[in-house]
Amino acid sequence: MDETVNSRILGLGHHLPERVVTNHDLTELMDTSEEWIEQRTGIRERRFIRGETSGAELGERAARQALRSAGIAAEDLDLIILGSLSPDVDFPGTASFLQRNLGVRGMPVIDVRNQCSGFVYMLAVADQWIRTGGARHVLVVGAEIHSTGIDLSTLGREVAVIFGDGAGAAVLGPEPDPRRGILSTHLHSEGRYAEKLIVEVPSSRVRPRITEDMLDQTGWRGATSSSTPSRAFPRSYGRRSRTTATPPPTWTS
Amino acid sequence: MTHRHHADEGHGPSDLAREAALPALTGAGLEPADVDLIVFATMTPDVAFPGSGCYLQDKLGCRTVGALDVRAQCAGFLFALATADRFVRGGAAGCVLVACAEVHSTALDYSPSAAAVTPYFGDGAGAVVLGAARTPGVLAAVLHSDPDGLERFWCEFPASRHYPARMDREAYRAGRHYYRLDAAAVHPQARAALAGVTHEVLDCAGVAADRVALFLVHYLDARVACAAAEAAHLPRERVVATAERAGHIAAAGIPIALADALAAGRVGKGDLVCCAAFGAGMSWGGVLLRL
Repeated sequence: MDETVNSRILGLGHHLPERVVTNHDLTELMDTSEEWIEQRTGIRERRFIRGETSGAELGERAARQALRSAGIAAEDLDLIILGSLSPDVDFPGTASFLQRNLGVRGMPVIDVRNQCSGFVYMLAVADQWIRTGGARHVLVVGAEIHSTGIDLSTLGREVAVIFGDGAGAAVLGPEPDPRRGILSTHLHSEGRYAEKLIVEVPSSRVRPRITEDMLDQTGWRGATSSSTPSRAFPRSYGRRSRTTATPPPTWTS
Repeated sequence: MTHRHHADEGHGPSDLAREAALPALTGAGLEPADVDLIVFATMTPDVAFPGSGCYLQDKLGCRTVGALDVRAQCAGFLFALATADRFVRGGAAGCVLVACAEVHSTALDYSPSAAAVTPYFGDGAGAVVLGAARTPGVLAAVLHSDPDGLERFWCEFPASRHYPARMDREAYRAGRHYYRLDAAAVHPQARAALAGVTHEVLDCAGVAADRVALFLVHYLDARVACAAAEAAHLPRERVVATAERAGHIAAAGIPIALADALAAGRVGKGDLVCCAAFGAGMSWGGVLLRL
């Protein structure tokens, strides 16, 4: 076997739920306009699940496609990494459910929770495992079901309009050619801005973590008072997160 | 176990991890500014998102280095350690801080119906600092997951897959946001896996059990951990069941036990330490370390 120098993406896959939610659809749920959403986010439509669907199910569809395009059987995976900020259950991680859906066992699975940069973090992790010979074939899956955890009322309009559901997957393997594959990885974090874009609840630093007060009949209480958004839904503060966490309109036009 | 610790009100895993990370860095002769990568393992994050690693980066005053947050439940430390080892081995990071912390106490059911689950869990943090060395310190790492029966040990809610809302009053009233453990099914699985993986990691490193100075066996029930050590024919006087000290602290249990053993002079530089862990997922593993 040639000496492994890099890791390379051998196959890709993705899956989006069928239900398309346009900006116009959102105007029926909240006080906003199609123009406002598109101007502020560059987004025209997103997908939401319809009925009970798990991140592991979306991830499985994406993963099977990636495995097929890589020509790798799920049994031949040495490591499965799943990134999500909307896990299927509290614990264990969604990767365990994905492993079951793929019908395999034995290889380690791990969840990475690095939010929107999760895929880049996962690629870096997979790359290190492969280039040091610790794993040969690694499945990396990003899977999100945001729609069950966003405030689709007017109070949540600044943030809820950004998020959609879906999954993407990549299968990585060793690459002997130093000019191909993952050439370099760089990871960063800056926790002083951690609460600029946040879902606070449930929080292990709050005792007890979940109370009945946080809930109404249909889910997380939309607001603790008429003017205070719920801490269980994503919130963003100030211009920083709006300008850095969402692409400018020109990206999609 | 006789007692466990509960975090102060308002303290999250990143607060506990800071207290563990600072002495770990000092012990390594390093400062927060020397850290090239943080790997944070927890199953009880400070907030739903972002991850606790981001908070720790700020609380320690590290540079804007990567803060990788991983979830592998009770085996989190071994999964994080093996991943950190890959970053050091490949030269991607000179110094990796592996921080593990749990605040279980805010999630537990304190009603009589949870009397068989809640007493197991404690809060706490442990940290190790990894750096490049001429001779390897992580001699072998063996990691496994098997999702069969994973609902026997899990916490279902909040659940993003629950439509239309990931948490609701019905789930709350049914207590589906509390930890559930089917001990009768999971204990035997843990015992077999822990015994098996201990020998697997020793075989992988080509090291005989009698050369190992300390076996850290990590499972929420210390009696099951001891039974696993017995099944693996490990010398009783060199086995520590991590949950004995202060309950089951999931990702943090092994680094806490390791720090205890070092502080007590039970192990020292050059000694071999074999760690095995089993937990939800089901995920388990073994790592053989040379200190």
